[in-house]
Amino acid sequence: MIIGMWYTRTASQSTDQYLLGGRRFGAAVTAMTMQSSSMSGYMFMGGPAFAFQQGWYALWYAIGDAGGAIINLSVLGKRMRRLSEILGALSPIEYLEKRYESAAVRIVGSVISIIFLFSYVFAQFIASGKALATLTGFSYEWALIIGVGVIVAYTVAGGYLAVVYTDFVQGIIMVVCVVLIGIMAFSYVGGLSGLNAELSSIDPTYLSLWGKDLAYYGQWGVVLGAILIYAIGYMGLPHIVVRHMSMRSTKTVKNAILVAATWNQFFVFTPYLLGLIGIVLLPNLSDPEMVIPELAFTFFPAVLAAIFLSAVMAAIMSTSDSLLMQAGTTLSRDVYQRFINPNASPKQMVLVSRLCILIGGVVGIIVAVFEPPTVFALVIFAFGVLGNSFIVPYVASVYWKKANAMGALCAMIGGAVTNILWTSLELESATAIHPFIAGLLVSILGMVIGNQFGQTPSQRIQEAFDEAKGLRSFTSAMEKNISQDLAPEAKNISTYYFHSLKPNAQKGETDDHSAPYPAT
Amino acid sequence: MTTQPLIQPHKLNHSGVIQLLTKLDPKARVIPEELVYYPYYFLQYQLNAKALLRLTGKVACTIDGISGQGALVDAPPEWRQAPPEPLKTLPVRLMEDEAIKQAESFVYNTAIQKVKYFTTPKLKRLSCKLFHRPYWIVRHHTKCKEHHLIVDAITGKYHPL
Repeated sequence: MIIGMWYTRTASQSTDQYLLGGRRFGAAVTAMTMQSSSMSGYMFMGGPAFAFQQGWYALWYAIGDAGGAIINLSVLGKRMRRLSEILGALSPIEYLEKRYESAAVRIVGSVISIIFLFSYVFAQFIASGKALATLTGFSYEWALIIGVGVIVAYTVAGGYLAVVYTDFVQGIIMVVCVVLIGIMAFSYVGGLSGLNAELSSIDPTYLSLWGKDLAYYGQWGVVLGAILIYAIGYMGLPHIVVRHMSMRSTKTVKNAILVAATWNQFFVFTPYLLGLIGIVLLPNLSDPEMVIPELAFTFFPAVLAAIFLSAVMAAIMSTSDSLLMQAGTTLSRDVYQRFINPNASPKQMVLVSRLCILIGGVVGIIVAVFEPPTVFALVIFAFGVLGNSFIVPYVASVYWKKANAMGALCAMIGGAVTNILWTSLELESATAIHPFIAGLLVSILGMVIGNQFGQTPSQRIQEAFDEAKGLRSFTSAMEKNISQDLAPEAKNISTYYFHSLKPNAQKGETDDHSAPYPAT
Repeated sequence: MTTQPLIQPHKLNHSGVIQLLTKLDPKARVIPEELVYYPYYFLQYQLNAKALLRLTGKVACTIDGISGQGALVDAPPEWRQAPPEPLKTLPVRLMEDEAIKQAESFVYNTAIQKVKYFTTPKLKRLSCKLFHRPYWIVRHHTKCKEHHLIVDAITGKYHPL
């Protein structure tokens, strides 16, 4: 709130300073915003609960998460930023429509993303209700209503600077609190060796990499899914992918990878380790998702516990805010304006977006009050379906020139349906294959097979694809400083120059061995 | 009666462009070929919105006079009347009323994505001007390749053609 007030005052005081303009965030702020949006209430509730139930096996998820930011930014980063700019796409779903030249891609993409973004945000609501119930002593229902109310109000209230910097501060709070609590908790159990000795005395299979009672013994398909879901899953989340589209320079991307990866190493393992410590210190805990709040209140000074719970809320709020905004934008821009009211005024668009967020909040409360699923199950499910629907179309869009609309549709529908069926029919235990792996394989197959039946992308898209690859054989210093903002101007000046000014000049790269250049 | 267009005076001259690019690629040969002027509309708005606290201030953007792309602006551009000698200006394709429509849609879309308001923000247009920005068209030779680049003659930012 203080950050919001401070930035609002700054923006209002100076008449020369434009709102929205002139914002040049460095790699640290970009990376922290991205990470605090990625790491949700799941990290404080779902992850530790899973470790509490399965022991060291749960760390497979953390291993994938630790490398997720690097993979996400490295694979999609530059190319997707360039291509979305060339295509003039403002939202990740609009990007898919323009890249694959199909309204059907937009419809299917919008439906999947809206349903599962809201599912993902419902998990945050449940987490907020549980955390606030512990913090305040209110009933879960009241805590939920208050928590969701705060999240929705915060989402529609702040300014951009405030939001970016609150994400940054929340990111710092999250990592510092988690590390502090981790240090304190480890001192109670005698460090890592003490923890393992205690776990072994309770049940040696807690130490196994195959889960409690060796439940996943030899199930490499499940283990691989546990690693991959967070290692590559972020590439399929529209609210994370949208950040690739708004990055300013390739230099920012590179440094952001470093900062995000470092932050991850401190952050992602500790909540799971706290779940393991919970097995030792809280053997009679009835709700495993409350392991960290209970640890904080039972064993740590009240101030530390309160700060810690504020970190939980920070994680929940920073993720919910991005999810709700993304869902609202998808509904208003990709559905309402595109298909229902193409002539919608900006005022109507804002109203629709806000209404969607509000309705989502109300539905979320109802679902969470009457039948609250676990945060872990809901996050893994929503994350998995989103990943299975979009990873393949996004990656293919920048790495496979001939990838077409039919392939993208088959990949999206095949991936989503497979994950939904695999989860609801509990095929994981029967097949020893994680729903995410099953969905990913079907999605890849869908792209490859579907692509045989669709139309080859137009010449315009193929040219844009080549341009986005950025292979121009410049020196790395030259390449790094190319300003993508100037892509539209470059295209228009190119036409003017080579058609009007110098029609005989040759465009683009030429092999010109005879051209003079300075002696070296 | 025709009036001379508004132009932004260029800051990078011929040798400045060569210096800028050879610093990044000392082995290349850089030949600035033409200085061309690209059309933009500059639109400035007064914004009034209820955010966490009341949020008022100016928002400005430029709209590309050819392809209609929008960009946020953080400082008002400086321009002057073009000199009487003929300049190589790219022809404007976007009419002013269309540019105004594009600008409003662009500012609102940006607001939807970037700023979170309690109510719909109110925009009041303060000005709309057509101006031209200078770009160098540069030939860039390396040992075995030749490229053409545009170099923004004010900021030095560049992009291959």
